[in-house]
Amino acid sequence: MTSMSKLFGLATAMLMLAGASSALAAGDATKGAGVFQSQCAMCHGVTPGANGIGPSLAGIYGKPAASMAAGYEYSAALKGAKLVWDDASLDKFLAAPQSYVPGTKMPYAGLPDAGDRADVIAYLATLTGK
Amino acid sequence: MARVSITRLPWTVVALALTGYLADTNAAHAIPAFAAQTGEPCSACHIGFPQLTPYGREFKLEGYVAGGMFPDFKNLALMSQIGFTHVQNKVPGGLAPNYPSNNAWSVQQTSIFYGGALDAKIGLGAFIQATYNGIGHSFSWDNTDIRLARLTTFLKKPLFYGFTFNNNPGVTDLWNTPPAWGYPFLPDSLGAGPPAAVQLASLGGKVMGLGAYGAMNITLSDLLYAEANVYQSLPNNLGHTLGVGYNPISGAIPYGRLAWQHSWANNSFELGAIGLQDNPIPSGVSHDPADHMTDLGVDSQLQFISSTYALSLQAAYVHEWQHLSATYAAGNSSNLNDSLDTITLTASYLLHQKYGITETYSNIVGSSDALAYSGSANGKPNTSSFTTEIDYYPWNNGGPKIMPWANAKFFVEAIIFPTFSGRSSNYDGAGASANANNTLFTGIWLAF
Repeated sequence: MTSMSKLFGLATAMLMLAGASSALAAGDATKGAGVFQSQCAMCHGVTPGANGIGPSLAGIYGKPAASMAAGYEYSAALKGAKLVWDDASLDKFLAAPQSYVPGTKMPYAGLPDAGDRADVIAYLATLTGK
Repeated sequence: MARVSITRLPWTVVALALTGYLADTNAAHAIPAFAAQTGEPCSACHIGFPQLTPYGREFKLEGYVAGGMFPDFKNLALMSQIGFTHVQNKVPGGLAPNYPSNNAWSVQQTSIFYGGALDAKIGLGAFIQATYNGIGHSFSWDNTDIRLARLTTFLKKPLFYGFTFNNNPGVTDLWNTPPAWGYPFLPDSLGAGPPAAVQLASLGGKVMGLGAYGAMNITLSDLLYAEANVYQSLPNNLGHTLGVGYNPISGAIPYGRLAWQHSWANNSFELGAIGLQDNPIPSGVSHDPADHMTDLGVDSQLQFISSTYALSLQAAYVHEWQHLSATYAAGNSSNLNDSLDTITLTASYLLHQKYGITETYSNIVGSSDALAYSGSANGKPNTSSFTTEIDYYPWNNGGPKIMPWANAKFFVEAIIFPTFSGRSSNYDGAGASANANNTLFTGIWLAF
């Protein structure tokens, strides 16, 4: 590996860490866990493979939408949206799922409070896919 | 011909056996049209059928569009209810025209549905049902709810609001306490029923109306729901075209609904009120004098759902004020003003999405009116019943490979009447006892 490629790899890793930590910095994962329990847990699991009415959300943060929950039948709308679950897309989706992705299987009024959304996103960022 | 005689019993057995064979299958879908659209098992939306889960309520609020975009053949579904009826005392003349006096198989109703999105981007979706009545040998429109739902914010709170065209006060409801989706979950058209019902339980299909609703999450755990509809009776020609005949009601029929729901995890508690006012024309002739009816009710639902079981408790009470000016003037009631009270208490338990039991107590109490209730020796409609329903759902957690969207319910239902038409014994003045109407109804509800 050349020094240039090492430098590129280091920069990429730092950017990824910075991206992951942006949600953690913006929101409170502990508070997010509470919001998740009251709003999301009835349909979504948080460990790999724990699909319920909705897919498991383990490891989705930073990954392409509709890609992580093996065995779950995602909607054609979400698969076709070509989203990556980052802070911005999760924020829009959690605010009004059906408006952001018409045809999604998630009938939910949304989280109107930006702080609640940031907290939930921070919590989702703590969930690993392994 | 929909009637299934005893001689056709072997075919029914074959059908049930085939159903049992198909039950040994794989991945789950359920309510056919909605399941096909969402890809979810029916247990996502229902605790048994027709009781709604939190997901089912959100799906309905949002206009039946989740998981869909535009109409698709998958949004069409068929349903049939096939059963065997036994009453404690045989009924001279038959359980219904062309039926034996007891112990009869019947295909009680067969329905075709459209369920799902019409245009998801604008929040337009529909539940449309048309039914062939195998007892009366007639075809008619059935529960219909076409709605446009939108999401916005109001006072910084999320608000679903929408508009509905529907044909049954209460068919739009999110809880299973109003009559449209409440008790009885499995009506037996060959069994006996009470001699009176409130207007809230009597207008299905005979009216059409427009309305608006709103559901606001005042907190993350509390939902306020309000709905207001205005109905009118179907015009003569349209009523006959749609198979329900002419049932004239003078003027507009206002309907209102308020409810509060508190949720925690998968559990919820609902408390609500419901009301309706109408002016039915007893002669059945347009522009003749009308009576004036006002219904006001309260209801509550408590629902616990875990990964292994679901428990729901429901209570509904409706009081009806009856100003019978037209009926009284025609000499068909003894009083100018009567009243009717109904109370229904239901408890349901579903284990592993397969084994269900539902117990319901129903009581109807009304004014003493010898002319209005001429079949009662004491002139009262009072009828109480206990209904026990035991169900087996083979496909709630896994439909057959060849029809993964199919759903079925095998049921045994027993209805016991402590009082009927005013009394427990000699209610008709000719020696009949209330328990003569006790009914056993068993069969299969099949949807695909």
